[in-house]
Amino acid sequence: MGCLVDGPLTNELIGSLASMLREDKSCGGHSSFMGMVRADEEGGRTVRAIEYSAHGPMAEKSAAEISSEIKAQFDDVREVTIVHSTGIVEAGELSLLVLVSAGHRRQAMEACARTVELVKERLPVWKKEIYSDNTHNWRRNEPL
Amino acid sequence: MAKVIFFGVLTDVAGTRVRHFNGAASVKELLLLIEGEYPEIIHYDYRIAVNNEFIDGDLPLSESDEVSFMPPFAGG
Repeated sequence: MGCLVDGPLTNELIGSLASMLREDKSCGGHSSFMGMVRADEEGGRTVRAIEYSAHGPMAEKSAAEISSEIKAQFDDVREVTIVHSTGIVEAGELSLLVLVSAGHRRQAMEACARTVELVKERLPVWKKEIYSDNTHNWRRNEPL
Repeated sequence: MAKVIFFGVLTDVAGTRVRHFNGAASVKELLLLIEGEYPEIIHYDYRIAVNNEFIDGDLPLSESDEVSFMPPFAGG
């Protein structure tokens, strides 16, 4: 599958990816990060949803490059999965999944954290926060 | 006729996501057309990609080229 999916990440999708982890029995550690849309409040308005848009071909290429870079940087990492939503994702729904499999836990966790940062820095995705009063704002990522 | 795709906040600036521009033989010429059409765009940061590759500086354009205007990313 590609790195972009339409709409929120569903339990079925996450379950399906988790079940695939068992295929490589040389991995003893799997680390995951799930990003969820927050119902932030701003100026008396509450974030109802985020509408994500992406440059599809460049996002797929970027995700593949991030995966390769992580595997080159962390020699115990066997698999890096990046899945990001496009379209409307309501507050409380998931929009990002990073899943890293490694021989052992240390590199799985470190590589997962690094992958999330690279996704935020390099994946050509944009988010439009939609508020309870139906106004919107294009949000930029904040530093960690 | 180059196909221009605006992303993120630039879709609001341009009022559209996709637009075709006639008469631009290079990225520099296309920029002049776009800044003339949407003067507000000069207040925004963005990078340009031609046919899915980022470019720096100028590049000749052909009619089949696809030019993407991409503000800072905000995934996650």
